[in-house]
Amino acid sequence: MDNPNIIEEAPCIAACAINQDARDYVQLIARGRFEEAFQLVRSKNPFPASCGRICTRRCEEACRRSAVDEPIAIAWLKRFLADKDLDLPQEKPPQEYPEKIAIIGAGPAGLSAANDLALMGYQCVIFEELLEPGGMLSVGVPRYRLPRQSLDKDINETLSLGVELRTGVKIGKDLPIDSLFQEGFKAVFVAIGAHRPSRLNIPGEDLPGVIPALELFRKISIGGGVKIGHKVAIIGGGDTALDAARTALRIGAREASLVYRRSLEEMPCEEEGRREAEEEGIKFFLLAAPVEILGKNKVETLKCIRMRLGDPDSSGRRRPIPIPGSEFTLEVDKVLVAIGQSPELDTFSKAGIRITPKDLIGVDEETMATSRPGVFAGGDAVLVGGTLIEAVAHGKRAARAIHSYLRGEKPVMPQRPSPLKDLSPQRLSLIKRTPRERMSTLPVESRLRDFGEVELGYSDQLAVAEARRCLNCGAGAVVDPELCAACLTCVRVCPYDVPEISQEERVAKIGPDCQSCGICVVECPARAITLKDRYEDQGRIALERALQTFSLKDGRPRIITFLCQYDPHCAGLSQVLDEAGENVRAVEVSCVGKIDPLLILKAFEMGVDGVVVAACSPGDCPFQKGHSWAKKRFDHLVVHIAALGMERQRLQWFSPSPREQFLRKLGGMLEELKKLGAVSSHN
Amino acid sequence: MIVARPKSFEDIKRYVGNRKKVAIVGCGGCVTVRPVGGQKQVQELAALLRLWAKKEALTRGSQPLTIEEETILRQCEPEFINSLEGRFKDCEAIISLACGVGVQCLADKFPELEVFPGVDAVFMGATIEPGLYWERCVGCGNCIIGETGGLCPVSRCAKSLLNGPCGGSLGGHCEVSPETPCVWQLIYERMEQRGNLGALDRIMPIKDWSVRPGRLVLEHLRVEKKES
Ligand SMILES: Cc1cc2nc3c(=O)[nH]c(=O)nc-3n(C[C@H](O)[C@H](O)[C@H](O)COP(=O)(O)OP(=O)(O)OC[C@H]3O[C@@H](n4cnc5c(N)ncnc54)[C@H](O)[C@@H]3O)c2cc1C
Ligand code: SF4
Ligand code: SF4
Ligand code: SF4
Repeated sequence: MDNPNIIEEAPCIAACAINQDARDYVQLIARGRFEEAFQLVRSKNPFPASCGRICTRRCEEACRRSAVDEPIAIAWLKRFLADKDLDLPQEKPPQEYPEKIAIIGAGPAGLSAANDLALMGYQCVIFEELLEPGGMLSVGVPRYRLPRQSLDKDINETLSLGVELRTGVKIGKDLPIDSLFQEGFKAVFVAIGAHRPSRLNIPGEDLPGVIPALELFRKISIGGGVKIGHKVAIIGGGDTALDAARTALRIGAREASLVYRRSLEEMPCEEEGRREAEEEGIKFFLLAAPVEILGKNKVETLKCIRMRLGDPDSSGRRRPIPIPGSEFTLEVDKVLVAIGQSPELDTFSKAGIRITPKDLIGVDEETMATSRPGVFAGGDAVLVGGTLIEAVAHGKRAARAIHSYLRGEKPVMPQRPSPLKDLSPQRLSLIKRTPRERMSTLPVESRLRDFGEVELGYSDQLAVAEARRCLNCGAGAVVDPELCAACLTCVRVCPYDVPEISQEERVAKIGPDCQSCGICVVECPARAITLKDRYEDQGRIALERALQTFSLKDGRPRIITFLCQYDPHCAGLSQVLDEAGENVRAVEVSCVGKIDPLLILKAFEMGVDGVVVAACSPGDCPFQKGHSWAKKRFDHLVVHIAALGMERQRLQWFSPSPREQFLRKLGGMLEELKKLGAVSSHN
Repeated sequence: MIVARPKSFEDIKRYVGNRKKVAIVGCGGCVTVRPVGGQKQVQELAALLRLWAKKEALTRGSQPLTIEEETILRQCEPEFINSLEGRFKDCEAIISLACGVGVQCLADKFPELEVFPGVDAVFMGATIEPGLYWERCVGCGNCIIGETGGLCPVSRCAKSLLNGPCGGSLGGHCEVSPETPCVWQLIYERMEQRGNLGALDRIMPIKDWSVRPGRLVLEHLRVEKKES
């Protein structure tokens, strides 16, 4: 995302509200560089553990891999990083600026603003009405989707930057907003979320037993008991409605029926959550709307009417229209209402802040500034149906704008990149199909017993395998037009037919469908091609490091083994070699097709006695042709090595599987090299 | 374009001998496009030579070998060659990966240095498929392709016959090498396809083979030398 070589971005990055560097952290995971990956995530996103679990994942919707098979599990990979509990404290700057900033609401919007402002060097105080921070993540989103300890991990990271949190203070009730300025705060960020449940506006709504879903969540999260009864109806079709239904089952309901006025396709919820709800036995009454709630002293019957879909409305979804005479009833003990919520705004309108006709705080979408100077707002308080990542984005944007405001500068907001176009259809059949790595889930029986997390997380190995599916969109090869000789080599060698040389341009152009296999980079006779990916150096640094680890006291022979990172058989091999006690070092490369023969020569030049290339089996190459190119170059190099009088045994191609055989061959090579001695002493 | 093949490493080793410092100069023209003499090959040859020198440290009198690596846009143009002015000061020899034209231009520029060819230019030819090239022109100075159906018998017939085929044309192949299609058979077929077989009845006159070395003046492309 911050790579100056990249103008059009991977759609996963462009789609995200904070432009999280999805591709880049996924690529780092693919290379086993978990700490750097997490650092990258955390540098933009103060809620990695939470986003990794409940984010609405616009990135995955936009992922170009979908056209081949399935999108990359970007969020799960983020969760994987967050769950590793890597201890990577953030650099806390000294208090640089004198101004104090007040933040109202300790939800994701408020905390994100505090996080960024603290990192800029401001002192922030968050005022929170409830006793716990976290906002809706704490009192809304149920624990089986977002465990408290994961949320706390995120929150504590921000608080550890020196952000002050004052809980149990409701601005407007306990403390008027104007007093904040009197107390010396120079700017205020209003991040109060939307906590007033919307009403159904039908008869019987006020009967005991009709409760807003939000109230149910809040009671449960503060540990209060709730009598739910046997049969529960839930009104609504979004994530909140699903959460309410699934929560009801977890606190004792036998039957949970969800009543939604549109059809399955229109449900504004996450696919995964809906599937899990179905597995758990939630009943769906689709194309149905409540018309009346009946009962003597408490709710007993829910009367609904069937709907059909008419023309699209302003939201673009088809408008539901009641079908006359189609009423039906459901016998119920409780009705949970989950049709939305709005912010409580009285205090703020009284304080001279403009409120929109939709009952939201009016803001400048770029800077989050309200109509009152020095007051900014964001999150659910300014957005209908907001999400976690939007709240984070607003918090971050507000932080920048507040900084500019306090410094008297014009706010400069980061440019939103435009997404790369889709993979062209002719490419799809050339890309190897590899299904997504599934995350295991808790079995349904044990799910319903408590609020244990349903999705169980990735192991290192699964995470790496999943990350390797990423096509590295937009970070592939690029041609230096000054060097290109229009020789057509790249056009001819690319397994995906990406490079083109047109009569008009007269130099090779490599478009966004490049898969980063690196074959053309090695083959280009003019050395005109490089990979834009800043994490990809085709083994150079790894070789450098490996060579440095040979110390003078180390005995001989010394062997460098190039390993294909994509081959599961190579996984863990590098440790095995390290621990073997011999002077064998591993250089991991993401596909042996990226290895430049020069690198092998360099290893010899730097004094190693032997080089091994361990590649996957021909059919396993993720780039289809990487393996065969590597082999061809290797065979060619063997001829050269022989021509300069070096012993053939010094350069070997071993399959890494089966491992015992690989290690045996390596052992044999060590023996032979012992006899041969060093390259230079020979004459 | 000119097609060349790398010289054997034996030759190159001999050129380098016991020298302490040499330059390897690639060309961004034909030998980059038919990749044997571009920047990549310069780097590879340099690496191989350094390794060889290291291995032969004793026989080379413990001389380390330093190599300057350079590739210029085209070795057959004075402007590009001149851009090397002042370079290779302490080198004892230059290995050029260009065709013989480039090697000579380089040698003219650096008369005090030994300049060796690192590749053998073999012919002017076309790419049939990646990695397979075939001779198509010898630069005979008097092109007759207009009369032979767009196929050059001078470069493609083993005997450069102007009035073929000879008796050795067998099933469409040349008796000299069965892998070579008989160009005269091809000429015949193309003329037949065009309905112009009669044109082959005309006997092609003997060519003037005497003009060597070739010297070409294109007056309209000449630029007057600036007074200096
Ligand atoms: C059941 C449910 C499930 C959801 N699931 C998802 C999901 O899966 N994915 C997703 O991306 N989003 C989900 N969301 C939405 C997401 O939780 C919100 O968009 C997000 O929390 C909004 O953040 P915020 O900081 O703007 O507001 P909030 O998180 O609501 O935080 C606002 C905070 O301000 C406090 N506050 C309010 N008024 C005052 C005041 N006057 N003085 C002091 N403090 C005050 C509140 O107590 C609260 O702590 C879900 C929401 C709900 C209700
Ligand atoms: S394949 Fe990778 S880079 Fe491309 S959109 Fe998907 S996650 Fe992003
Ligand atoms: S291989 Fe290199 S020189 Fe040849 S066309 Fe491609 S970019 Fe240009
Ligand atoms: S890196 Fe691979 S996919 Fe990309 S253009 Fe080069 S050969 Fe094609």
